[in-house]
Amino acid sequence: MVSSEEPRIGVFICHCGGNISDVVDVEKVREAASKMPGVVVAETNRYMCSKTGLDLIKDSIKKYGLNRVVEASCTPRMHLNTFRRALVDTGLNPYLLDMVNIREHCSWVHTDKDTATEKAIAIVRGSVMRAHHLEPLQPEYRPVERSVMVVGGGVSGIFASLELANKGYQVYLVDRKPSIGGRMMQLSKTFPTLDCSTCILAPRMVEVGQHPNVKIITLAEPVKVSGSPGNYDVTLRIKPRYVDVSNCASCGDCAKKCPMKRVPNEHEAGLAYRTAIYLPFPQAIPQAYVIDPEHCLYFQKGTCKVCAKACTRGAINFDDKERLETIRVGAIVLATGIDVMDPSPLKEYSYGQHPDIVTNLQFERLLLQGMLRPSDKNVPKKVAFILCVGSRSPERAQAYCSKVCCMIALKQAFLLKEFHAESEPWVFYTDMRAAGKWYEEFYTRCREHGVKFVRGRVAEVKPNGSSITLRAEDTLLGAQIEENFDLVVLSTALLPSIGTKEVGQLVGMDTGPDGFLLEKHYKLEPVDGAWTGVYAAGCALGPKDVRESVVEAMSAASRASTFLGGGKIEVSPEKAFVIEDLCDGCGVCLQYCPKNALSISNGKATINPVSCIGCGICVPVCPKQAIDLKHNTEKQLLASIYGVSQGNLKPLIVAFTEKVVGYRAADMYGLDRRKYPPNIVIIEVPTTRRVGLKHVLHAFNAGADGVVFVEAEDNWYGLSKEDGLKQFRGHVSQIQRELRKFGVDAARVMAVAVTLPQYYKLEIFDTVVNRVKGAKPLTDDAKAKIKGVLSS
Amino acid sequence: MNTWSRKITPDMMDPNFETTLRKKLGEKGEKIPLCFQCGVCSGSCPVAFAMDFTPRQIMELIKLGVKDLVLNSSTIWLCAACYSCSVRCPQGVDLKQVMDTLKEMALEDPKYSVAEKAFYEKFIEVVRKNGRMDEVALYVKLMPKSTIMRNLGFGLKLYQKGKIHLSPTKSNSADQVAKIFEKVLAKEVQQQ
Amino acid sequence: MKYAYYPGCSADTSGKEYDKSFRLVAEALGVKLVDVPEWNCCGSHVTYVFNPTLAAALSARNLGLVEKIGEEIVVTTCSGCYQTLKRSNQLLKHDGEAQNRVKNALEAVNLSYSGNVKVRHALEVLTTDESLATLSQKVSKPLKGLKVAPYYGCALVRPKFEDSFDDPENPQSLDRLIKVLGAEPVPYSDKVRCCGGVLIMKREDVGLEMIRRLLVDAKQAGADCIVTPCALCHLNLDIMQPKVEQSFKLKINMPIFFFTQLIGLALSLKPSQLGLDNHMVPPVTLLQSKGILI
Repeated sequence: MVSSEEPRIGVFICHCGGNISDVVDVEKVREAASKMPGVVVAETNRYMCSKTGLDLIKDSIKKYGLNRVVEASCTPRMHLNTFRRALVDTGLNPYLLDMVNIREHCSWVHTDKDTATEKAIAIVRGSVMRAHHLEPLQPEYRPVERSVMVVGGGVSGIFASLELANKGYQVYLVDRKPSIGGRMMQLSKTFPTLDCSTCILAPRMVEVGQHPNVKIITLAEPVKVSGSPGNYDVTLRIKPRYVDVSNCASCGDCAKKCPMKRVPNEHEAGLAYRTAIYLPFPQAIPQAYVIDPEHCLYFQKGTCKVCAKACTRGAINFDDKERLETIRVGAIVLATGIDVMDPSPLKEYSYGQHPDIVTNLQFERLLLQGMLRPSDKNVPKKVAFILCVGSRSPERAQAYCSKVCCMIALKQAFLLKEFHAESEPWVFYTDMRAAGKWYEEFYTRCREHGVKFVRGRVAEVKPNGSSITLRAEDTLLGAQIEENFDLVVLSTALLPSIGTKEVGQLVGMDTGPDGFLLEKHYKLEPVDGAWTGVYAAGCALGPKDVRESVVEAMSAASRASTFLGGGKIEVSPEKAFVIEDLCDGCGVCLQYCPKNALSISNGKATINPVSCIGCGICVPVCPKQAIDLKHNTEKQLLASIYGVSQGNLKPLIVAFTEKVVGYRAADMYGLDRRKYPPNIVIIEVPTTRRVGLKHVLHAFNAGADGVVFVEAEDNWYGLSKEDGLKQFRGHVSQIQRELRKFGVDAARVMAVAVTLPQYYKLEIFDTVVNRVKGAKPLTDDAKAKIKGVLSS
Repeated sequence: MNTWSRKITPDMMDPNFETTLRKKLGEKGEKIPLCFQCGVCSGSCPVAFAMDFTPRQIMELIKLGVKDLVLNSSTIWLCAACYSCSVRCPQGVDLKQVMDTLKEMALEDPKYSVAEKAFYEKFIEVVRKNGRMDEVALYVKLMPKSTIMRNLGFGLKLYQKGKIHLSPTKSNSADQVAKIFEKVLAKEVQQQ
Repeated sequence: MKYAYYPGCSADTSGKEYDKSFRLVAEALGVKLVDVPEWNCCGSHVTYVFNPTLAAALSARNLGLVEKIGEEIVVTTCSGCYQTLKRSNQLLKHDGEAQNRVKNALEAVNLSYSGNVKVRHALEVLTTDESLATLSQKVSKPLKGLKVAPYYGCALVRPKFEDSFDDPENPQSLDRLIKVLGAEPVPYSDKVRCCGGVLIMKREDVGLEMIRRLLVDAKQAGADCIVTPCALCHLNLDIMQPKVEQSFKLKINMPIFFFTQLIGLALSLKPSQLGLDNHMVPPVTLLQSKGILI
């Protein structure tokens, strides 16, 4: 057993090519580390994650007979597995590795070399001390469900479903609309190849509709997700269709009889009407009619049912009810797509004040309807395409570039010219963004075809009798331009579809400041969610074109199948356990467990390892100190505290930081190269409530001058946001109250809750340091009291 | 008015110009570097047709630091302060306020805007003296005698319509207003 | 309703009939006005360029006087004053230093100002839902057949303040008022486009072109006349109209009304009471042709 052996620790310090060594004096850290207790060898390397670096670790393990490894480099979120594998390769248990983050939490957030080096030494010491108490652990495995739920039936959802279904997974393709198909089915032709949008997508819709491994569920939205990776239980709210899909022959007899003929047609972007019972569009899948109860005379006034009489197959059922259905799946793919911004709040564009001012989505439908002006059905001669309506306007609408509008406008101008050779398309642009395969070439083709380009964002669009006046600056000339047009097309910003934030929250995916889903890693995990087994694709992640959506759909499918393919999932062994000799069965712990993993049997507390998520909340609440947490044991935590608190950094503030959001927020703070004082040293904990009064007292006893708790605003351990925050604040103020009894100023203990998008809230670290500096002094009397309590 | 050779040379650049302007604008100054030259301001401007540089071009000149071209431009004096640019700017630049501040900078420096200075000074003078504004008093102070004589007929017509008085309108609190002037401007001097 | 009333400097000169007609229609509609005593120039946009603190101090004296007579809301007919007074309120709220200096200046004249007086425009108080309802009952001579171009100008609608009452791009208050009076609002694409303001004094050539454009556009849109809530706009559009006609060799003949005059006409007040004879472009012929005046 390794734990009984004398620790032989190797410390490996990375330069990270200068990312670390430009600020931290790596050699000094090495020298200090080599003198720490239990350390047999300390080495540095330009890139520890490189083959040379890893070989250095492996060779040292063999050469010096190491049984613990401390790796001081970047965040463990980056390379924990890389370094764990090095241990495994040499026969060491991977849990005998401890990582110190001297990049995101040190060199990237500090500028003064001396103090940064001082801090790096302190946190390496914390890690070395903790390493003394590391124990080998074995991961457990659980089987996974070989099925996937794909939310959203647009082009991304369809392709993700087909890819997964063809690999043999059971797929549930869910769409809240009555048909799959999504936005792409509304488009005319797709740039830059000009294939007919419907012609290329409809066959795939049929394929997915007939696939034996795919079940399409329309008019449905997820409302609850529980379970764990590999075994998610998704509850869907399914709205009534009032038409039996299997019985409907989509003959259309019902719609012919329906008296409600002036319902705005969503598929035609409001440029045509439909009946209250309708087929969403000719190629709809499922190929069945649906009743829209908001416009149906029967649902509004209580009489009618004409459609039911017209239907010879008896497919119409007015008693259909909304229902909930829970489905167990192994993984979830969000492909919830986009909406088009309503431009009417930007009044300078006069949208809604003239029938011939339309959005670019409406123009797609005009192209399919015969390319006539809505007002008088004449051929429009002069047509203006206005880019950046609501995009790239941080102070007016959306800050981001909607990315596809330039290409859409080019395509639309081109198609207009093809439709009516005598027409005159003008494109008013801010910056022409035609970066993509064959895009620039398409832009050239447009110029060849006589599309006019004006570099200037349109300032105002005003109805002027039957025509429309447009004012802009031709910025290349520095001259105002004022022109009348027959038709004006607004390239409106693309927004995340309504409900993106809510559905994201169900599966632990945050949304960014732009409202789109946040991927786990911007570059390297671009379709992964924060939870294992959750993925996203297409416009749910940001505006993009069809080709890119398909690429992401296939990526997400691949990620899901990689995850589910093994048939089992590794479950972390980092769980709480009861020390039976100490437990008196009082049951206090039961009240605190957010997962009900604790129970009393035979007069002792027992923990169900399947339910326990390792949050550690039960540990400090046990009056007998009879509960401990694997890989974050009392001994390990205290060792860390004592390790980091020694040294010359004054004042020294220990930041107990929750591991999922808090720790990553601190990483992002570093990634952004924001700065905070080196007096803050971060100790990672599963949740801040793993840390009790005892640990805070130990911190002060060890030499710390202050403590700050960094917690997730949305906790990962299953409480509602409000409850989580309430308990967090309660926990901290309880500690502050207790500390007063020792004569410790409450200003020395602070709390902050963060989210990932708001990682910059950690700028509070500056305030924390100042408050500690300004706090009433820690008197010898107080210190003695603390020491007294801890030793008794 | 500017006459320039459409060439910007290093000697025309004042590296401190943008910083000074930003400082004077306070919080609003932070938006200046965000300008991405879309042209919404100039497209909106009702006076752009008469300007030597469009408002957007003024923003570009500010960023390059070409101080003389900016402070000698007709643009800053033609700005009618209608805020069309400010309400529409996608980046939140309050260009009307920028124009005001540029005017202020030009008024402060004897190098610029001799003609324009008179308008502001006379306006203030009328208010300081009478407590109120009076178009005729201002007009008479501003215009050369010849112009006044040329417009005498027009003036007479206005008088007949009751649109103007011959003796300036005076607030019965003119002395109080003068005191406020004194107090505020005295502080200004002290601070400098 | 009762408000303190701040007429602004133009009420004595170019905007005389505006002041006159506002007082009359306010009375007819049961809106009580209490004059701000011994008021002075609001400071105006011009002083703001010269010295913002001075401008704010000039505004603050007037607003302090409003408080002194025990009122909380001041109404003004002048769009320029409306903008300046609001701007001063904003400056005093956000700029501590200016606030201090203004406080000291006011102390020198035994006044104080809390910063809490609400600034309203005459058009705002006369076009609330309530006012329009009262008005629609009192209209005795609907302005049938009169095609009116609503011209809002700039200072009334821009910049957008927290408590602005109409939209900076597509305001509706005048349009609604015109309808209530029985006239027809003409859709007019230049309704918030600046008339040039004081540019007419500094650069007559530029000012005249800006005015020309507004007049010609209204004419082309089919308007018989233009209505405005701003004394400076009126000065430009009416007083300068003969000059525009002369310089550009045009015949425009477009009467320009203050909105209060149109209300007065619909309430059967006499043209002379409303100061219609003060206009450079006489509106009588037009009003007779529509049967509004005999």
